[in-house]
Amino acid sequence: MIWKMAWRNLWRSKRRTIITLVSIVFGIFLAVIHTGLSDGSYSKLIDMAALMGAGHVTIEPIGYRKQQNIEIFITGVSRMIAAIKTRPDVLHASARIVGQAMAATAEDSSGVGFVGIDPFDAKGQLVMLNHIIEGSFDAPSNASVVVIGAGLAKKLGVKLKSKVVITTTDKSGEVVSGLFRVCAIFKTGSDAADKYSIVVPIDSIRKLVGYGPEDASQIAVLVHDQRKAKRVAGELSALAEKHGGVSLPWFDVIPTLAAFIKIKSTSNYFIQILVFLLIAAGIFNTLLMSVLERFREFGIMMAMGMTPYRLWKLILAEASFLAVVGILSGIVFTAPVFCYLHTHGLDMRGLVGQKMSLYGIMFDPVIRTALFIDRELIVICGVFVLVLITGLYPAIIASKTRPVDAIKTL
Amino acid sequence: MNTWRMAWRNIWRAKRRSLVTMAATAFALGTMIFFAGWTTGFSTQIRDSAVLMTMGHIQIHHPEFRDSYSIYKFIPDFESKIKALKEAQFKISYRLYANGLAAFEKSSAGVQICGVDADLEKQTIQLPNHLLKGNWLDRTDKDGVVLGRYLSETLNVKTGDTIVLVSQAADGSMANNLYAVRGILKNVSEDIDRAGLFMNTDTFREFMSFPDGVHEIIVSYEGDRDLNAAAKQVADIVPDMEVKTWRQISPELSDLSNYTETMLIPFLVIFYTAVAILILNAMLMAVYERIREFGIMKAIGMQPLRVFSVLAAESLFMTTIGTIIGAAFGLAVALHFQKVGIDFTRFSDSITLSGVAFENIWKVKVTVQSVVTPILMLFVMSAVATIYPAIKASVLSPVRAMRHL
Repeated sequence: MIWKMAWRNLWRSKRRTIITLVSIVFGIFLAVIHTGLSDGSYSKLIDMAALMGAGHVTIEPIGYRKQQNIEIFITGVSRMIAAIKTRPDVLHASARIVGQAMAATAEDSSGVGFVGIDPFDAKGQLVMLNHIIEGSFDAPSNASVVVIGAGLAKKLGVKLKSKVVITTTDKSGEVVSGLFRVCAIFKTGSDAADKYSIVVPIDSIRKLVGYGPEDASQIAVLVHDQRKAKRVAGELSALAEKHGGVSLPWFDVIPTLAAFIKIKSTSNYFIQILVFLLIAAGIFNTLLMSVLERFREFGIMMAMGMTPYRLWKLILAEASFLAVVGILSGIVFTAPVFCYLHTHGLDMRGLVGQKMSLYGIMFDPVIRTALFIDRELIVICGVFVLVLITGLYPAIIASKTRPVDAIKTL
Repeated sequence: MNTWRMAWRNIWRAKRRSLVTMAATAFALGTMIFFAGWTTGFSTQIRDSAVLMTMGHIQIHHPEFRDSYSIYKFIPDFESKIKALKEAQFKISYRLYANGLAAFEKSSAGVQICGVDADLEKQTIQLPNHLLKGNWLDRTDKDGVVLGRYLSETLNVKTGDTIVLVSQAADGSMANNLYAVRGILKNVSEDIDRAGLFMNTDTFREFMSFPDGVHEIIVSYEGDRDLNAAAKQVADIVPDMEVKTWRQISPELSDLSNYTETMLIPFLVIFYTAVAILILNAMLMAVYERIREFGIMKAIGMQPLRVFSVLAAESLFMTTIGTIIGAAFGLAVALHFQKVGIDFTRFSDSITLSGVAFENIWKVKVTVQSVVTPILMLFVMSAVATIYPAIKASVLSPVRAMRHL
């Protein structure tokens, strides 16, 4: 009976109910979009960093963080990669050789960082290879070819098929050099990549630095969901240790980015708390108003024998109906916008320019909402609880109505 | 009866309802004021850390200096230029640069020797206040130096130790001398942390046999001015020198500050929508719930225009009271955090972004704009939220209004 009454009460004063519902619907809308956008912008940055550098999880030799040197490496990589790839949460894993070198032509020379990767296995693994503007990296993994950035190409004065001499140290510390032909040129928009990075086939660099076919500087693991990086890193550490390596999540590999994201996310949580407070105040306001306006009604009901407890339950039942209807319509209203923002994104290009980079990590000026269903569910449940909590006080006030006074008021 | 009086009485007749509405508007405004101050602080912080710490707003160099960092590419006749800049109300400081090698016991490291005017530096930028240990240079101190943090770690020196400095002087001779370490800087920027060595200009001139000229003039100003306009003004004063803004000197930092400011926009929109909904709700409820009452008033002869004016006056009263309370509350909170800052150091103490170190305490910045804009927004939103229901209430026929639930 209480529920039926509550339901009828709601629709008896349609306008009031609709105003309250609007605030709940907007509450859901704003909270969900806010969460989605902020999660989306960090995930994007993290994914980009993973593609730019060493994956979401990096398996590397012990001590490599302190002394990034070609002299220390891990071995047995193909067996490790095979084992890692069996995990369902892993998108991809590939062996890399990274190091510093000097790239020189007749015209000029420049210090560069190189990444050795298997060309057949490199599709979608490295940002540089996703932004090739000329040529292609389709080559055997022992070919002496090199992919260089547009900025570096300009400095060295090279075009496709030009020769570049790459000088580095091998695993015993001897200076070695090799002749490589430019097979592709990339332009990512990040200076760090375009001016100071080159990509070479892994076997040709193995030959140059004297690594065996099973040796590499690191294994870069990409996962489907960046939030799982820490867990995956932890679970891979046994495997890594067996091969004399360690397994590190991205935030240990790129601590500055991690710090920046921490600051940004703290500030976003902060905005989120304020938004939630405002939403709560809005819902509280309408619920309280609708009770205050109905004292006369409550007075009459109590005069006819309604107990305070039942009245209290009635108001809470109204609040729960409002919450349920509000949340359902909120989801209906939010879902299309959320999906649009997930697929098309919010284009900030007009405001920040075409491309920009942050710490040499290219940053996509289109922010998309991240599809982390669990996070959105928490937000939605949060709003539900919020409505019930804000309904408590009005319900208590209503249950304290004194019939005689209430009927007298306007 | 007078419209204003009637509105005033209406408000206090239903005390509880009015208080709820006013509390909602006050809360909305308070939050807005705090938030506006916080975003102002947030987006200027990165800029200010970079600009005020080491760079200044604008730098002047010899047109070829930044390519070569050669000691011979100096700004001639700098005293008259500085005088002219000071007359144009700019704050200035100047620097002399040279490369050298510092050694202590068995360690040595390449350094960038920077001759500064200790007092001008204090007036223009924040660097002298960011000491980890010891003191900033004293103007009369002939043999004191201040080192960057990592440089001091590389050399393994403490304040009070004496280091050897070697360089090639401007006249081609070999310069070497002993200097006492007076202070060690906190993290400031990548370059200074790793290689910065500061000494007085007189000491520099004597050590490097460099009698005249400076390599860099740092120009900064107070208040919000258009950076490019200021740069143009400076360029007019020193026509034949290279004048660059900090954005041109450090495009990466410029990107970073653009990034943080731009990324804030969608979240700002969300926040202000939430505020708008709260205010709309409060005002809509305050009017809609009383349509019956207006029906009765109209039945006893009140004109539609009068009903409208009473409602508008009520809304104005409530918004004004809400504004006073909200502004007081918002300002108090904002000013408090302007003083102490919001401390995020437990997430990470000091981070280096694009070579510049930031302290992770975010200061709220209260400006006239960050207080006035929210108040204006509140009034606009309240007006929008009142006008529609007020018109509806004033034109509704009494019979229908009285039946209205």
